[in-house]
Amino acid sequence: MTAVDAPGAPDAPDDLEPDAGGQLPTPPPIGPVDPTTATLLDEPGSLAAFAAFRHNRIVRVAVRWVVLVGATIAIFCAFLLAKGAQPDEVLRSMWETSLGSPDSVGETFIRATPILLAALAAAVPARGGLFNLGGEGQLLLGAVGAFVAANALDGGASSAVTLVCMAIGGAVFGAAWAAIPAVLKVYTRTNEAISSLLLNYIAGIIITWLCFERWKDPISLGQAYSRELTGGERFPIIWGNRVHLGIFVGVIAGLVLWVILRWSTWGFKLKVLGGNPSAARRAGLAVTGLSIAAMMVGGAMAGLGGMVEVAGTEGRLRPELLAGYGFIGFLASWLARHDPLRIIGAAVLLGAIAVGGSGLKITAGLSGGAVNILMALVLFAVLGWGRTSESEGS
Amino acid sequence: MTNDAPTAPRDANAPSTAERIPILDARGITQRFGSLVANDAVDFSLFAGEVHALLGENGAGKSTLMKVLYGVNTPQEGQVLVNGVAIEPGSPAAARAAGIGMVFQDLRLVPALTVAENIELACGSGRYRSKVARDRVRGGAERYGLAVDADAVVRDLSIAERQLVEILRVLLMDARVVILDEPTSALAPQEVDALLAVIERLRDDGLGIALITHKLAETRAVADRATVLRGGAMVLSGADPRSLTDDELIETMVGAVPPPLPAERVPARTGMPALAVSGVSANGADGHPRLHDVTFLVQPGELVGVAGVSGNGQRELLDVVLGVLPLSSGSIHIGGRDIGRSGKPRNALRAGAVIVPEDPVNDAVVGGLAILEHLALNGRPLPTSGPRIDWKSVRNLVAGNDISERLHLAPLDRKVATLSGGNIQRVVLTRTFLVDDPKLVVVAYPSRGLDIASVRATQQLLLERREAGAGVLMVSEDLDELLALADRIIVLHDGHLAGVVEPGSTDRQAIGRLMLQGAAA
Ligand SMILES: Nc1ncnc2c1ncn2[C@@H]1O[C@H](COP(=O)(O)OP(=O)(O)OP(=O)(O)O)[C@@H](O)[C@H]1O
Ligand SMILES: [Mg+2]
Repeated sequence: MTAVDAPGAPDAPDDLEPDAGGQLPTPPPIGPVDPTTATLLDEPGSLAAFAAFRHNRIVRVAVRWVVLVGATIAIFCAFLLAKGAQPDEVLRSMWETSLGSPDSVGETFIRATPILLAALAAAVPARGGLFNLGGEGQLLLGAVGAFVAANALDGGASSAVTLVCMAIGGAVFGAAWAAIPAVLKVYTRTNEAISSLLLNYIAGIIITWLCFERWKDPISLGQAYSRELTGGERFPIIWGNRVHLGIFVGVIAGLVLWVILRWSTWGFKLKVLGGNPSAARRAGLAVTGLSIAAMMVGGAMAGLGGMVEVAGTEGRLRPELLAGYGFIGFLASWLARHDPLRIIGAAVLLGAIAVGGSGLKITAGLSGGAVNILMALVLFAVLGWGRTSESEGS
Repeated sequence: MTNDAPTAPRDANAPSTAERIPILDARGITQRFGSLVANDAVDFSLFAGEVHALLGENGAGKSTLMKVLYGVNTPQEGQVLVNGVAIEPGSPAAARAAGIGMVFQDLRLVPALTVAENIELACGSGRYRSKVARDRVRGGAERYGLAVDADAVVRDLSIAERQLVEILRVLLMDARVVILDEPTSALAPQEVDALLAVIERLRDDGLGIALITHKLAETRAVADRATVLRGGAMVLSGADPRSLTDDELIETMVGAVPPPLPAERVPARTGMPALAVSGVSANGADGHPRLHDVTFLVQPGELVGVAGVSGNGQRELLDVVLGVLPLSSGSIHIGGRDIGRSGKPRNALRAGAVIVPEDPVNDAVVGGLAILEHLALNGRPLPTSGPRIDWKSVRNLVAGNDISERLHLAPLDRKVATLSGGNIQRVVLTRTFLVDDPKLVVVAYPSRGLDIASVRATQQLLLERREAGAGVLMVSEDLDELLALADRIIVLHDGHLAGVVEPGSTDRQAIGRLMLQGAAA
């Protein structure tokens, strides 16, 4: 198929925010506008040339990015100074731990994978106008599902078969966990953002129980964790001594979802539902089924993330496994405006910040949470950028 | 009309007005959207105590110009002066501070709030006190004679009622300049008359009113001057509409006077009714009973009109026929198929219904999608080839007949969010008429927001559908349109079927009485 059949320019912003152009009393201009808005005045003269320069889209975008990145780093440095740390040292050490050497790049990819999958878990429902804040719980349930599959096979299959079964187990468990808020939403009108969020805590309790009781490793003494996955139950190491094959799972899932959301009938229906649920319903789309499916596909992605973590780096189930990744993923999804391709980039960026931050305690005596500030700044900067570029449209 | 010269200048070029400063003066406005020139060096002025009509076909640039005045659009060239002083372009706050108020074509109230809350949001002092707000709304509604319920939640109001709320909101903001962008598009004749009376009062109070309308009668009734846009350019600038005949005005607006509707009609067929509504009662979205024991038939090849003052159950009737609203009793059959009582649009659509909803912007279109994508969403199963949508077949469907040309559909890959109000309506209409062989066509306010030429094209297409054997159920605020098109008209009053009338045998007054007083009339 050629691109000609596809309506809309491929890189036009195709996800109107659900409430853009809504019924505000003081109305914003209508939605995002064609990127070709840049108008070069054809009269000569320095004033016109200056106006043309200012109106040139590339110049505007470049200037805005420089300002935003600069401001983000400046605010973070101000924070570091206030905490008595040396900004230049901290930034250098963050750079070195996250991207400065092949090993640290590998570490960033390892960290980015569950973030990427958790981001997809937020993005697919968001395309259909639903908020999935349950990435944390779905990641954990995915890890449980992977363990269930591994325990069931009990080393009786080849490594490839075992890993595929574990992936399926993780995806199914994640999807099932995400189905709960979806069904509640559709049949009882419970807000899916709240219910999916609250289910995270229940997932935490399930994991704790499994680690303390049911699956407690008998040789772990006082520690609460499960047995370690071994041999064919683990992703093979492909690089250095930590980087495993599982890092491709997220990227592949992202690419596949990008294709599905952009080109398939299902992706189109989801876009209509997200853009205007009332119109979707009146066009005869099966809104109920679509909503549940969108949440479940999202949950399956997070479930895969949980599986990759236990079959890759971790190897065990621990209560604090993956804590916070679901929320970082949610953030990544919004950073990327729910576009899977951009989510891959956002996940790597946030993964790098997370890795860079893990060394802060040692090098600068800061708490590991300090990088959350940087992540929040990045979020504000990017969302702010989206806003201003939209309102400049008309 | 007053005849004292100072308050109502009849001609912008007359010497007497030369020394007067207009309260609003837009000069040389050019507004481009990419390569599209929506306004090309347009002038528009407004004196205190006059009504200036802005006319032109769909997409001519009328709303764009008014949004420039109100500061929503930032023009590339030109400036806006208020009392001779330039105001900051592109700032609605500056425009409001300068006393400009605007009612937008696509209404912009907050659906979850009540009428009083919405109005307070726009013109309140910042501290919300429910009693003050409600009194203000009641007082205003009484003063201007607008039927507005302060406590109603906007979500439950019909389009026409929302229009009145918007108008009242601007009036209560103490604006000196009032811009009304197609304020009457969904109003019934009585409501239009009431609104025109309000406009005359405001003019007598010394306000300046800019009025966008597609209806000649309204221009004739209140406008002191008229400006006509075509393709973004001024073709008539601030002329006295009385100096032109109807035909001349129509020609400057749309190029040619549209042909009249055919007088001959093939009689309706008999057989399986296209729509059978029997004993239907239903609650509105707010849970209150809104339809009471309504029964009627639409035969194949018959066009049944629905008349009534807005808010008397038209919206609910449309919603139950489409299956959006569940029934509390009774049944609905489309082409002989029971669509059930559960409120699932799929059943009605699969039984052969196609619809143009009451509120296209909120219920039919997705701003970020292109026109082509909307044409696939016609209620029939999506045309697919493998896992993808077969966009080529949608394009072929459009190219295979002349409907899109007759309705002047904008290019297929334009995003709907960038279309003018009338062009959005054309998208929804085209989508409906492109459906092959429907059993039932349900249209709400088919000609809302359309220019004169497109209104006629739409009416002709409706009659063609009727002739091809579809049943047509048409809700319209425009009694003339109903009388010209319908085989029968059912009148709704307070959710009851007040009567069924035949256009040939009933006069307008009788229908008006049924609309206002119900079956007791
Ligand atoms: N934000 C925008 N981006 C791109 N094009 C736009 C935008 N707003 C308006 N246009 C285009 O400008 C032209 C004029 O639109 P406008 O809304 O002013 O028409 P109008 O005269 O009000 O028509 P109608 O009678 O249908 O309301 C149309 O072709 C429209 O598609
Ligand atoms: Mg308009």
